[in-house]
Amino acid sequence: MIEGLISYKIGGQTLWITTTHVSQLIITIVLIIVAFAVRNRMKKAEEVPGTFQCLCEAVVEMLDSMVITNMGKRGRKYCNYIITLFIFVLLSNIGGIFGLRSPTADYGVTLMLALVTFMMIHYNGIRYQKKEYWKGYLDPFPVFLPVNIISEVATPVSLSLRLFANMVSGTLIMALWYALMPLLFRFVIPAALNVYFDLFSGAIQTYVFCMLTMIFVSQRFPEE
Amino acid sequence: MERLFGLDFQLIQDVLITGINIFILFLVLSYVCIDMVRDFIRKRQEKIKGELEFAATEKKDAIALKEEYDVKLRNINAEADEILDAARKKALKQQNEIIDQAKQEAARILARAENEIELEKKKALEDVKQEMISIASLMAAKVVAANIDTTIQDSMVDETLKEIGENTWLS
Repeated sequence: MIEGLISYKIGGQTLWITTTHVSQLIITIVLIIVAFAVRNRMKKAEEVPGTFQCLCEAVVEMLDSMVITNMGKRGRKYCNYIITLFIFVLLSNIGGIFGLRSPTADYGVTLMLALVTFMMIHYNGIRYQKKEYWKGYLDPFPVFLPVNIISEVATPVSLSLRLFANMVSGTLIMALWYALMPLLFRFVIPAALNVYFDLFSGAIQTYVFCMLTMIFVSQRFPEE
Repeated sequence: MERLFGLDFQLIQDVLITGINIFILFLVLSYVCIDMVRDFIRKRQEKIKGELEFAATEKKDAIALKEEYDVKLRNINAEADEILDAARKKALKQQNEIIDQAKQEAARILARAENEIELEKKKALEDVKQEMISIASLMAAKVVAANIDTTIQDSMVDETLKEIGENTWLS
């Protein structure tokens, strides 16, 4: 469960700073520290790279290659966002291993990520498809306009709910395990469950989310 | 407060906070490290590409140079063979010339020697003849002086000489 830590009021509404925000903040700070560490390392970069430099280069090269493979050359400008998204979602998904509450097990987080994808999809649709984009809402007949709008809106909803549900299910199963199992079973066995629900499922869901984002966005690109 | 899911103002707040968070993270990661790493990789790729192209060009040049030297070496052998052949022919020609000259020289020396021998023989013959004439004259003079006059003496000497004949004192 998401726990509220500090409450405040805006416009008569009580809002909370929750464990999700704290986890997100920790992940963000860690990533920023790592980013500066990478920057320092790359300033002193050598032709024959060390382990850390190799790791940084491998991550950037692998994700760049994944983006270009799926989105084509036009996707090059989305590389930085996809890399940021991949690293953030992956760390958020596996946060449970480090004792954090997975931020992606909060619908507010996954919804925002899906909304960014949604905006990118429609920005590219308007930019590249122009009139065809607007005509697409009336296909095959104008009477299908509501259905088409719902289908477009369903994209971010399905994206966000898929990631959220997968992560929250893992979190819930782990919480249930710790709550219901006798003390003896709370050791060693949960390690295997953590590996599956946090590491494996987390990595798979990260890949799926990024892959769907790339596919949805690249569908709006003109044919090369 | 505890919650799992809710479509309320808290959700909107969560969405906004996540949006700001992602935006900041995107900016920091992009400008602080991702672009830098990508730039470094690109420069290294260009450098490696350049070095590979340079190596390929150098290799091509080296192969061309090797072929050129191989051709030169092959030609050098042929040229050396030609020079040796010419030298052999020239040496043979000179050898023949020297032998011919030597033969001619030997023939000339032989001819001169024979000629000289012939002359010496004639000279010796003449000397002996003169000597004999002198001796005969002396003898005859002594005999004539003792017995006959000069006319008889000379006829006797000539007669004697004829009787003796050239072959007698030449052998």
